[in-house]
Amino acid sequence: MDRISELPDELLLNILSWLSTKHVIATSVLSQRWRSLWEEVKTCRFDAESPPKARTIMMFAFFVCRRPSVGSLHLKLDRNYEDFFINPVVDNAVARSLRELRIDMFYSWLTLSKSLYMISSQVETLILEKLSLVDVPPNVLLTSVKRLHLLSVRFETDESVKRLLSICPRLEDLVVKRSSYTSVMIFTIHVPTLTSLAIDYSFGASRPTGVHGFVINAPSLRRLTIRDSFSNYLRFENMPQLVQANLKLYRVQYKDSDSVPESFSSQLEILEWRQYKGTKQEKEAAKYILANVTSLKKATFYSVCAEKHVMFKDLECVARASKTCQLVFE
Amino acid sequence: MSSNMIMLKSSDGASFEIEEAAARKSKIIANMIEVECVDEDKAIPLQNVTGNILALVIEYCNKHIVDDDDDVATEEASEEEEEAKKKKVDDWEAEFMNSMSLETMFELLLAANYLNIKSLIDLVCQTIANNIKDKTPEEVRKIFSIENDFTPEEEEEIRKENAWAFG
Repeated sequence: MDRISELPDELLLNILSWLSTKHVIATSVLSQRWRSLWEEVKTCRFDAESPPKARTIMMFAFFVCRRPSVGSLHLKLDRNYEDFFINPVVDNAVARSLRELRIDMFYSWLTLSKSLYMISSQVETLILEKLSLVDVPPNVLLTSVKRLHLLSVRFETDESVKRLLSICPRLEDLVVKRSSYTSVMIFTIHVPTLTSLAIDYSFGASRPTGVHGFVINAPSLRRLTIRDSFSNYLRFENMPQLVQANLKLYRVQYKDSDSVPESFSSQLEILEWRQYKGTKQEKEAAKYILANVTSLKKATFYSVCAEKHVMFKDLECVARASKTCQLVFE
Repeated sequence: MSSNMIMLKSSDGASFEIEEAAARKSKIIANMIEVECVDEDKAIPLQNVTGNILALVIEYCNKHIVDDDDDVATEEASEEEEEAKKKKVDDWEAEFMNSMSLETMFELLLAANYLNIKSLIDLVCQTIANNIKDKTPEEVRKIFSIENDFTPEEEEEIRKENAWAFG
């Protein structure tokens, strides 16, 4: 037998996992060895074709229909694929106990399929990438979603972000990758159930003018990762459960592909920290910002703790990177 | 980081010295180190890996010692270096895979599988998948010398079953 066909199933399935469903199925005709391997691939994946063929996406929808269950659905589409192509595929997968949905629209609009709001939906992981999200309708919930990734997602308004997050009553894990495409000024993350938050705002070269950044209000948060080169405003509120904070606030630029990158300060000017409790993690994060961000103009800490004077004194002692930074305690 | 060196011995008797941190990319070798069946002066014999393939595995592991440990180094330490390293590793991987024949690729895959180095398994599998993507079954058979053992009728039947995938 030839070398590739001699590989154990496990490795052949790994190879197939990098291909779209269409290409996976096409391997069934190679030889007897490949005849039914494709049926064991758990992810249904559709990649945009150019030029797009309506027939293929329809047939893909039929294919999804015929599966007894669909664990994971990945759609990599573009503006040629409109909602009426996408929805039947998603609806059928949701009806077949879909757990993970990933959609990449190559920077065009997407309306979330209604089936995702159904109480019977089991979608736990929703990954949206490079797309403009149409506002979610009123009075719906994404009841089963625990993990949400918003990777270069554009919203209609700042309010749209709040709306989307407010309809995820079980959200635990949020990943936000902001790019210059994400037309949001203040990205408000107010999620009581959230335990893990990762923010990446370090891509691209341009940034909006005016006050832009993040407001984070997640009282159950345990792990916080921020990598931010562009925000000029950050507000933390109430995170008493924090056990791990990893902040990286600065910018890297390459002159050309081979040169050594140059490091610049981030753009952060205003830091507001409400309900600062001075836990070890909070303290480290606060000190990191004061000691490293040269652009900082004003840092305000609000606290109601009895020992707030000690906590504030402690912060005051930090050698600030920004000579003009005003430190305010309330 | 420990800079302990350990010795690996290929099936055809070639010996290689490798940093312990790099060798630990292999779950099998890491386990051997854990349970102390590694003598200071004795080489670990790897019966299923020939010298030329082991050299490639070691080259890969040496290149990837750093990235796994980066998760531990959470401080602000040289973010820009990290960034540059990531790009360099990506370029290096592309070049590394480009430089070898399909035959070598399969041997490397089997070695990575035997040594249990997940990231290398994925890298090779993805590269092989790229050779299948956007090709007709005939082209794929030719690239990998797969013998078509279907009768024309059988093949026709399979194509009919999922005709859209062959369009």
